[in-house]
Amino acid sequence: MITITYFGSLKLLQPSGAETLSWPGGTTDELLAQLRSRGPEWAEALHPDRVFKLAVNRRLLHVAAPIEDGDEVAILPPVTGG
Amino acid sequence: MFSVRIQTRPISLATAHDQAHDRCGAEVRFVGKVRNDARGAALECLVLEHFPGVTESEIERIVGLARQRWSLQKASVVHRVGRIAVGEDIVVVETASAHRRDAYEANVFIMDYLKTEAPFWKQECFADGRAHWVEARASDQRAAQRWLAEGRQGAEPTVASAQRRRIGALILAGGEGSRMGYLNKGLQALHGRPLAQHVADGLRPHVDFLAISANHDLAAYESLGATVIADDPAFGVRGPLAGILSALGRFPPGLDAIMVAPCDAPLLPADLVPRLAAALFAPDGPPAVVAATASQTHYSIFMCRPGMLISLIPRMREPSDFSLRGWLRACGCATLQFDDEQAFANVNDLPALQALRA
Repeated sequence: MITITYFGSLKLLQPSGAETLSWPGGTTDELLAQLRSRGPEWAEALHPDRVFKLAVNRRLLHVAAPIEDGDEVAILPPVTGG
Repeated sequence: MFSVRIQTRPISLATAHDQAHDRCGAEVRFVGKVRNDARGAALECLVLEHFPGVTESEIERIVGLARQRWSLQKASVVHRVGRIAVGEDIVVVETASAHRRDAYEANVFIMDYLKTEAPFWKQECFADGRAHWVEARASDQRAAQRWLAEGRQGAEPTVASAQRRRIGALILAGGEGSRMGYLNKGLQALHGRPLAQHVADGLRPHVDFLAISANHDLAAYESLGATVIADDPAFGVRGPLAGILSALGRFPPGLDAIMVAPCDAPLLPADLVPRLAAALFAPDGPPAVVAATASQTHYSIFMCRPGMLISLIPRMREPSDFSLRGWLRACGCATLQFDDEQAFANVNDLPALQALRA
C-alpha cells in the first residue's frame, strides 16, 4: 500500500485530502498515468502540461522516481503563497 | 540571524524584528497582507495550506540561494498559514546588510522565489460563503525568472575590485567510470597520488572552499580533505548537472564565483583559476567562462557566478539537454583560450592513464 496526499486545489479530486492505494511497484509517472485514467476531471487536474510537483516521503522530486510499497506520495499543484 | 518560521498565530512584527547585527547599515522588511478585494468580490479571509517540513526546507533553500548571491547579515522569513483575515499579515521577510542594495535586492529575490517555489496554497473565502483555490499566476513566474536573466547578464552585485574574490571549487567525480571498467576514476593513482588529489592540490591555493561531487567511495574522497557531496536522488540520474545542483546548497554563503573541474584532469595549469577569474570579473564579464585549447572547448572546466547555478533548477525540471555543454551555452558562457594543450589532458580510460604514468 502507498498513501497519496493531495494539496491545494487537488483536494477537489479527493475531498479527504488523502487515500491509500495498493501498489504493485512502479514510478511516479506510472502513478500519475493511473490516476489520470480515473476520469476526465482527474485527467484534467493532473494533465502533464499543468505544472505540479511530487514528493515521495516528504522529499520533493524534480524528475520521475520509483515508488516503493509503503511510500508516502504527495501531489502538489502550482504554488500560490506569499 | 537566519530563520524560517511557519505559524498559524498572527505575526507579531515586534518579535519578528529582532536585533540586527551592528555591522548592518540597512534593514528591509517586506510585509505581505490580505487585501479586502479579490476580483471585485468582498473577501472575508484567506485559508493557507502548506506541506509541513517540506515548505520550511524549501524556504531555507531560497534563503541559502540569496545568501550566496548577496552579502547578508540577516534573512528571516515568517509565513502564516491557516485562516487569515482581511488586513492581517501573511508573510514578513526581513533582510539586513552592510549597505542597502544587498538587503533590498535579496528581499525581493526571496519573495519572488517564495511565491513560485515554496509549497503554499491559498483559498479565498468570500463574504457570501463562496470559497475557491487561487490559481498560480504567470506574472509571479516571470518575476522569479527575471533573476535568471540578470544572472546571465552578469548583473550581480560586484565587490570592489581591490577586494579578494571568494571562490568555491567543485571537483566532478560522480560518474560511473564506465570507460575504466567501473573503477573509480578519480581514485586511480598517478605518481603516487589519486587523480582527484592532483586536481584538488592544484585548485586549493586559489579557492576558499573545496568540495568533491562523488557517488562512490565517499570516505576515500573525504580523505583528500574536501567536503564530499553525493548526488541528491531528487535530481535523478542527470550526470554532472545533478552533481553541481546537489552541491548548490552546500557551498558557504557569500562566494563570488564557483570553479568546476573534473577529477580526471591531473595536469591543469597553475594559472587556471586566476585567469578564469580575471575574465569572469572583467567589467561586463560573462556569467561563466569555460577553458579552451586549440583542439577543443573543455566544458567540464569552467568558472561561473553563483547566481548562474539557479538556472539549473528549472532546467532539471524539464526534459532538456543535461550536458554541461548544453547548459553553459544556453547561459551565454564565454571561452578563454589556454596554450598548453597537454595541461588539459583528460584521463578518460586506462590506456590514457598508463600513458601519463610512463
